[in-house]
Amino acid sequence: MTETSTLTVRSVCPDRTPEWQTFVETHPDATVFHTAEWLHAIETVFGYEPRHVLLTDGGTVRALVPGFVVFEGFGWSVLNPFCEYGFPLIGEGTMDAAVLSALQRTDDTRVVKDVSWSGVSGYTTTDFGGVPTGSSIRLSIDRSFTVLWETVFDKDVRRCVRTARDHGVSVTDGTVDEFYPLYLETMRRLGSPQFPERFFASLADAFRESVAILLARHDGEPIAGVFLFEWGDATIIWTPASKRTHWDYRPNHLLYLEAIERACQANRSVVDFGRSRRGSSVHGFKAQFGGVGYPLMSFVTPPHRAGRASLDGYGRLSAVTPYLAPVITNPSVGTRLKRFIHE
Amino acid sequence: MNNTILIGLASVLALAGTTAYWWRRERLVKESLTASRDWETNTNATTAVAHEELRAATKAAKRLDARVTDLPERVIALDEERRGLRRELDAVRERWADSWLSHVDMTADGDPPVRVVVFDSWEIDDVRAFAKRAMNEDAITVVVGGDNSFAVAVGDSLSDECSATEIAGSITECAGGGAGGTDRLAIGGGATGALDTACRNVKHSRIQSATVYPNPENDA
Repeated sequence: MTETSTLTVRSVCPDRTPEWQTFVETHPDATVFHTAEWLHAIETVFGYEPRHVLLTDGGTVRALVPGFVVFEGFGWSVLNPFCEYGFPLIGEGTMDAAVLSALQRTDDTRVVKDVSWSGVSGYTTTDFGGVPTGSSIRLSIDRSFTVLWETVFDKDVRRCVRTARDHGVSVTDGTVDEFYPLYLETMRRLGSPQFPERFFASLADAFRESVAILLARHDGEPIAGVFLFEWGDATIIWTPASKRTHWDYRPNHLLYLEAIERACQANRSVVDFGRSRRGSSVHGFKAQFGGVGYPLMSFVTPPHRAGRASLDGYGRLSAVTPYLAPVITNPSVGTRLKRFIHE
Repeated sequence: MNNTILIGLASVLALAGTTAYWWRRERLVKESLTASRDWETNTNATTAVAHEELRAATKAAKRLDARVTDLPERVIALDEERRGLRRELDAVRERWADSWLSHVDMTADGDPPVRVVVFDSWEIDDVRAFAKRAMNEDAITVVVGGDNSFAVAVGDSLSDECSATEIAGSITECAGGGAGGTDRLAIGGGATGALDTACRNVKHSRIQSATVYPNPENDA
C-alpha cells in the first residue's frame, strides 16, 4: 500500500502527458470524462484554468484527478465540470485515503464528483464533506439485445417504440450542425444556459468514432437527438434534445433504444443514462429501460465549503428560469453564463 | 441618537452576523460529514466488494448470453448438463472397453494368469474403464496408460489368492508414484520411473505371462 507521504502531486497537461493517457486507457473504472480529449475540449472552449494532478510514487503513476478552477459565486473551486464523474482514478495497491489526503495538500477547494460504483473510499477519514447530487442509471449489457427487449425493458418502452415506428420516425446518424438547433430548443424550453456549438464540434473532432450523434427524423426533419459517448466499454447518453411538438411520436424512446442496440452490437458492458433526480419524470423515463440507479455524491474539501457542490439552488431556480429563457439562452448571454453553471 | 447607541447597534449586528455565519458553517460541516460517513457505511463499504463481484458476474453472464439474475439457474442447468455428459462419457468408455476386451486375446497361461496391457495414448479414465471390465476375466490384468497411470484388476476367481493393491504397491515400489483401491481393483499414478519395466518385473515375479500392446503393436 502506498502511504500519503510517498505520493508526489504533479500538475500536468493531460494531452501532453502520455502517462495520463496510458493510465486512463488501462484503468477499469475510467470514464470518458477522465480522458485528455474531454479535458482539452473544456479548456479550449471555456478557458478554465486546468488543475489536473498526477500522483506518483518514485516515478510510477499511482492516481490521477482531473479538475479545473471554476468560479462558484463566492469563490473558486477545482472540479471536473459538465459531467457526473470526476472521481480520482486510483491504481491497484494505492490507498484511496492517501490520494485524497494528497489532494488536500494543494490548498484548493476541491470538489470530487463520485458515484457508488467507482469503489473510491476514504472520504470520511480525510474529512471530505459529502453532498448528494442525484443518481445515475446504468443498464448492464450482460445479455443480447433481443433478451433486453423482451425481458428487461418496461412494456411502455415497447409500446412507445411501436408508436414511434408507426408514425414513421426513423433514427439516423447526424452532425453537430443538425443536432445543435434541437439542443438549443431544449435549453430554451428548460430555461437553462446552453453550451456553445463549438463545444460539441470540439468533442466530435476530438473523439471521432467515440462520439455518436443520433437523430430521430420525421418526414426527414430532425425532431429529437442524443449526443453519445461510445468510449471504452460504456455508452454514455450525455445530452438528449427534442422538439416538444413531436413528443407524441415518442422519438426519445426510439433514440434510447437505438443507443442500447448499438452498445449491444459493439459488445459494450454498460449504457449510462446520466444523472437525474429520483422521483423526477426524467428519472422515470430512464428507469423504464431497466437499469440500476447509482447514487451520486460530490465530496468537498474543506467540508465547510460543501455548499458549493450542492445542486439544490439550480432546482429552486428551475421554477423561474423558463420565463427568463429568452435572456438566459440568448446566444451572447447563455454560452457565457454556462461558464458559471457547471453542474 | 448618539455615537454610543450607533456603535452598540453596529456591534449587535456584527455579533448576530458572525454568529449566524458560524452557526451555518458548523451545520454545513456537520451535515456534509454525516453524508460522507453514511456514504461510506451504506455504499462504499460494500461497493468495493460488490463492484468486483458484479464485474465477475457480468463477465460470466456475458459468456453465457444470460442475465446476471439468471446466472444461478444457468449454472445449475450447466452443471446438470455436465453431469449428464460425464455419465454419457462413462457409458461410452464402458462400451469401448468391452470392445477392446473382445478384440484382445485375454487368454493367458500360468498360475495365476497375468496380462499387461500397455497403450501410450490412454489416460487414467480409459485405464480405469478398461480395468473395471477386465475384473470380469479370470486373470490378473495390469493396464498401463500413457500419462503414467496404471490399474490392476483381479478376476473374481483369483481374489482369494491375489490382491490388486498389493500388486499395485509392488509396481509403485519400482516405478514410484502412488496407488490405492481394493483387493479387486487398484488405480495408480504419478510414476516417475518406467512403468513398463516395473510391470514386467511384477509379471515375471508372479508368473511367466504375456504383455499385450493393443496398438500399434501387440507382443502377446
